[in-house]
Amino acid sequence: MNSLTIKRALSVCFCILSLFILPGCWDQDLLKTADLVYITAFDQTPEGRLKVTIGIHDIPAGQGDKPICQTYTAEGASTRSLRNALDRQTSGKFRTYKTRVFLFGNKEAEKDMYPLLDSIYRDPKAALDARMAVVEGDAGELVNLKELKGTLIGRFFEELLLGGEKTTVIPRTTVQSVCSAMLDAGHDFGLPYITSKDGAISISGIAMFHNHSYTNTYLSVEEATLFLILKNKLEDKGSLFREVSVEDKKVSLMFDIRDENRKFDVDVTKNGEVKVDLQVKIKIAITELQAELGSDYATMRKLEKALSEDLTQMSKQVISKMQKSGFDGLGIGRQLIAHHFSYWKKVEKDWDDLYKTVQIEPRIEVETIHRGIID
Amino acid sequence: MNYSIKDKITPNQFLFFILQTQLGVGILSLAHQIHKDAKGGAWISVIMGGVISQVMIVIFWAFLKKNPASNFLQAMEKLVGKITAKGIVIGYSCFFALVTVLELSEYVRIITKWVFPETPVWINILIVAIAAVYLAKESLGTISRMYVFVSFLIIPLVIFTSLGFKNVHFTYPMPFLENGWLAILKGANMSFFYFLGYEAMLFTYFAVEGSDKDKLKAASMGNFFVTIVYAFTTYVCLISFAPDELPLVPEPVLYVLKSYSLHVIERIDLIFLSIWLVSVITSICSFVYLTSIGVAQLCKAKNHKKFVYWIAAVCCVCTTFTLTPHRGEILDEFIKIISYPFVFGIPILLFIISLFRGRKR
Repeated sequence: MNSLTIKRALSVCFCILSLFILPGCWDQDLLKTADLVYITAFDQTPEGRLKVTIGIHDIPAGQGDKPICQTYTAEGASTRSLRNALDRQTSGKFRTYKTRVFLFGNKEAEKDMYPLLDSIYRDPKAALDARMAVVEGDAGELVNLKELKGTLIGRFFEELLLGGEKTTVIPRTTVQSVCSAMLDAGHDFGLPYITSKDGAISISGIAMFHNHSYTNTYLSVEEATLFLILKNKLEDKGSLFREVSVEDKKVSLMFDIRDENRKFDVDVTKNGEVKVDLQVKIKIAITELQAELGSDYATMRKLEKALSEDLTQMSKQVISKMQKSGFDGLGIGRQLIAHHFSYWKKVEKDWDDLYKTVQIEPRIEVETIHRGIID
Repeated sequence: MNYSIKDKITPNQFLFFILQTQLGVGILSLAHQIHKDAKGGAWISVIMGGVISQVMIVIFWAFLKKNPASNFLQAMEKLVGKITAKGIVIGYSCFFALVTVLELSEYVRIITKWVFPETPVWINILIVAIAAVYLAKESLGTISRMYVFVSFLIIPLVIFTSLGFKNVHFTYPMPFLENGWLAILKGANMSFFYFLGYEAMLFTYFAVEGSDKDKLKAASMGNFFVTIVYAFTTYVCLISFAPDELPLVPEPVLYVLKSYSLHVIERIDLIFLSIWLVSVITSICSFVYLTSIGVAQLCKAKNHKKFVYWIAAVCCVCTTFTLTPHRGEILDEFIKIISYPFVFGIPILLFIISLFRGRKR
């Protein structure tokens, strides 16, 4: 009886003691004291120093429930030291785990990007699925807009980029996928290229990177979609506008790419040359067709053929543009590493030059599956 | 009076006991460690590690089958004499205690780094140690029943890992034989440590009901399952990280999960960690339990309960001394070296001795 009471008392004591141990007081990080950084922009100042601009989304007390964006800027040598400088400027605790977008001014992107991202890779709380983009000119200026047509700047960029991904204009790149690409010799990554003209911000294609830095060349929006098709990265849909001539008539058409099927072969010939065979079959749905064309089978076949040739021609241009800037976006080096490892070991050192001379034979075949509700 | 495990467990419970003992802290860093040597062929190494463990399980089984007794010490005494037998049991008890310390210190290192950087170390140790002791002081039957119950948690563990398939490059690990078969073997040698835990057979085999064949089947199934889970996680890590990236990421599984977020759950890695914690607790509990029954056999005690507290306390205190990275490495290396005699050397030697003894009779 007595020992039972002692036992009970002890277990109650234990429970109370556990309360102190279990809630994790030391590591609590209250949301109400945190300043959540939604967007970060990296730029290079004319003097060559690093400039960081951050956008913090905040709901100020007493002004209704409308969230506002506050921006802060700091200049310095490394991202970590800048972080401390920014922390001193902000009122609450500076927290980066909600960051959705990282913007890079094109000048800054031309330098080695890895050191900028290093602190993000090291932080156990950092957001690894944030999106990245290159901005023509000064990225910090765009963040300083704070708000764009009623949308806070961080959210605006996030939606802009996610929308671009869905329509196969830009590749799906996160901070983490960029890390893999940077550390792999066999393929390069491309980032969304953003331009602003008279206050209108838009995606203008894909900025081509090589190793860790921007090559200062980019693919236009149409080229970007085609590049992603060649890469077998069709998302929900992708649309293109082309002008072709069928039966000596000019036909301009707009179409959605609904499905694709890719054959990608990287071979090494006997005399030690790399030969790439790239065949893509796409299924399209025509959404606009401005021409007086018959809708019979034979004419449609002709249209398909003309379109196939046109796209093949365009693919060649895209690829030569990529080769010129040294951007191995298709991952040809990766294929060599995986399937022709002894050859890769031989050419590894000169791969950057060799890539520019690789023979790449793209071929696109088009099949129409849908033409809308009229003929 | 000799110590013997009172309540018998069924072969099925035995299966989960082996499985939960094997599956521990290692799963997080497995891919990173094996990749150091074996590169893209790391998954082959892991499967080979599983095969090696399987061979050892068969040897353990053959040896234990030949020497029926009520506990390990008794079996040893019959075979090699009283003094040597005691030495061997002391050795194994120390070995199990060291593994407990290693598991605890690895766990603390990871949890401090990933989730609780500010929380005092001793709290982190206590959270796991209290849970482990609470379970380890019970009988083998209770422990095994608990293990069977928590084993369903392996399913979400695997499901979460497969989320890694969202963004993968199947060419990353290729060519698998980049550094040749020798590197793969080196990796297999390394991965073999992650399979440790089946040596629990030595102490618990006597408490399993059923025919010898059933017992072998159970242990093998446990090991097979662990091999599959390990090989799968390793492969997911290999295709998620570039070959030059993996050496930078000591806990690739967590890192993969951290880079994705679902609609409802933003940090899958934290959910994964809390499930993983259960595996860690079961492993630590097993080793504390094994140590305590080792000691109980030596002391000829009736019950292992009172030893559990002391052993756990000593292990926790020892753990606090191993938390600097350098000391952690030394401990890791030390255990790797001594596990050769304890997992390979002694059992094989005993097996050979028992073969000769058998012939004489």
